[in-house]
Amino acid sequence: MHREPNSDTSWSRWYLLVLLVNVIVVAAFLILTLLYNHAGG
Amino acid sequence: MSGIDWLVLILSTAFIVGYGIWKTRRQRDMEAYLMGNHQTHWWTICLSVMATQASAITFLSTPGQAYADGMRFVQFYLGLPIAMIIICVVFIPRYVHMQVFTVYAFLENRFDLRTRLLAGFLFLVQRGLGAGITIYAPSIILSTILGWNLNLTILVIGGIVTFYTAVGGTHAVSASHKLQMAVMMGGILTALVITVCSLPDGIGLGRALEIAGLNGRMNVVDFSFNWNDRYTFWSGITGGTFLALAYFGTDQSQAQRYISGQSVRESRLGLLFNGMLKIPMQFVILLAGVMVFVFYQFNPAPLFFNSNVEQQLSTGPAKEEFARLQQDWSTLHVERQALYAPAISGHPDAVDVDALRASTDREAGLRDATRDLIRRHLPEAETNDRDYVFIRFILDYLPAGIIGLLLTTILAAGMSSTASELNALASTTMVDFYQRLVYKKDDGQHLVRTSQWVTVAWGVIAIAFARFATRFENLIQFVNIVGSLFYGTILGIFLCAFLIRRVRAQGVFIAALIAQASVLTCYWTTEIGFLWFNVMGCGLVVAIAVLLSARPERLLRPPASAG
Repeated sequence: MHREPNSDTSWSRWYLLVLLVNVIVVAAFLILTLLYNHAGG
Repeated sequence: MSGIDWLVLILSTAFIVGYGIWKTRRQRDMEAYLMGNHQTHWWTICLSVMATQASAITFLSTPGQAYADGMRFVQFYLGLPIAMIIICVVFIPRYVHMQVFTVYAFLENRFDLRTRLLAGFLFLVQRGLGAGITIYAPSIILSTILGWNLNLTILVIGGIVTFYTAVGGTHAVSASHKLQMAVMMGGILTALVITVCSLPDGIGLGRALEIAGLNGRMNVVDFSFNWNDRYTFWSGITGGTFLALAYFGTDQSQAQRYISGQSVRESRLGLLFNGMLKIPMQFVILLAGVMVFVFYQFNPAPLFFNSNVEQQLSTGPAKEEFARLQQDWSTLHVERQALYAPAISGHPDAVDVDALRASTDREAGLRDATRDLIRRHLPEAETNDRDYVFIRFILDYLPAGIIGLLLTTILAAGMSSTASELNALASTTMVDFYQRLVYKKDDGQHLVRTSQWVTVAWGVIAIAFARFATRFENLIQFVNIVGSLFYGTILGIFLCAFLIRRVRAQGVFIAALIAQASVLTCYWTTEIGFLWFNVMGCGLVVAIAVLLSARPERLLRPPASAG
């Protein structure tokens, strides 16, 4: 096993990035639903 | 299928398999065969994890799901990124620290041998069933619609994947996954672009989305709360997180992909990129299904998508009744096009929504009448045709060459997930049962050779199960339901192992048995949506294990007297 080069802090940034990307994705889904789902689901 | 389609299909499949085997020459020990010598980079892990999850069912069933039910199935994956982060924080460091070959080996270290064997056994049962279904699902659909022999299709798909998995082990599986993912993404994006380009003049992507929305197909997120609704934001975030946590964290077919990484860093990055790419990928696949729906608003759709059943109805004793239904179907199609006229000219708000709804109701009525006709005259035939929507569209409307590419996509997806499953079934059988209970010597050559034969044995079992599998209402749902029945219990055992120090071996073992029995009882006696079984199984294991591991003698012991 190789030595682990990264600190916990840099991993926290990665986790936040994953969450942020997915919050943006869900927000985009919500916009699509509000814009286009005229039949009301 | 034309000659060029066959050429594309055979050459691409041969290249993928050949590449996987060529990359994995000369493997002499179990470390190389099962773990790829811990040389896997993060991008390979990411693609391998995604390819393992994306089965042929994903590409056949998911667009059909979107065609019939809209985009809301994407919510099923909303918990996946959260699960990826939890696995990176909690699971990966422990697996790597203990240098385990299978995740169940970790349980013996934490609890005892029987807990390891119980979790390993639940995995073998569930994944053994799953491997059969992942071969059967594409085989039944492709053989039905293309007129191929079912047994031969199962044998060819199962045989090829068993061959390269047995020969090359985990490294062959990962190497071929990279190419398979490239083919899958290329295939589905090509299908999406061609479908949108095939819409009538004046209808681009925006107007197509308007038309999909008018028919309730753009229900991407739904924040309403309903215990019995399988696909809402809440069931995706809660049940979906548990299911993804169990699948990626405790299922050897996935864990083997990332514990073979070069380092903790590579394993973590592989999973985190999966957490960012998976939902957009599912969105694209569902969008392809919705675009097929819009395409069929302007082009004649089959009354029933399984062409084999349609053919039997057209020539059998019910042919006159079926011809009347088809006549009504054609009339309805012409009427619907007139209703869409304002949308085509850029005024979707001017579409008569009430008339459209009435037309949709009549359409549903005609489809129900067709299903009723099938039940009466072809009682053996499946009445659900969702799994046939996408493949029928591909064959009826896409050009030669592209058909071959998309069939390669479906076969690549089927082989990628089956390869991981066979590889994991063999690893668990070898490491957790054979090496642990039967053969305790360290003869690398013998172990690799035995692993190869065990892989072949699991391949044969999967092919046999695929051959005798009965028809299910919807294949992707069946696979997810089977997963949900067992995953909660397995996840509960692992969460106790990782997070609750006071839980002891005896407590967790009994808790797992009670939880599994309760989940199966609820499945057979209630109507609860299947995603909740993950939460229920996991919660029961944790709660009962904590209770059973409490030490009443400590509570009852009198306090020590002072002095």
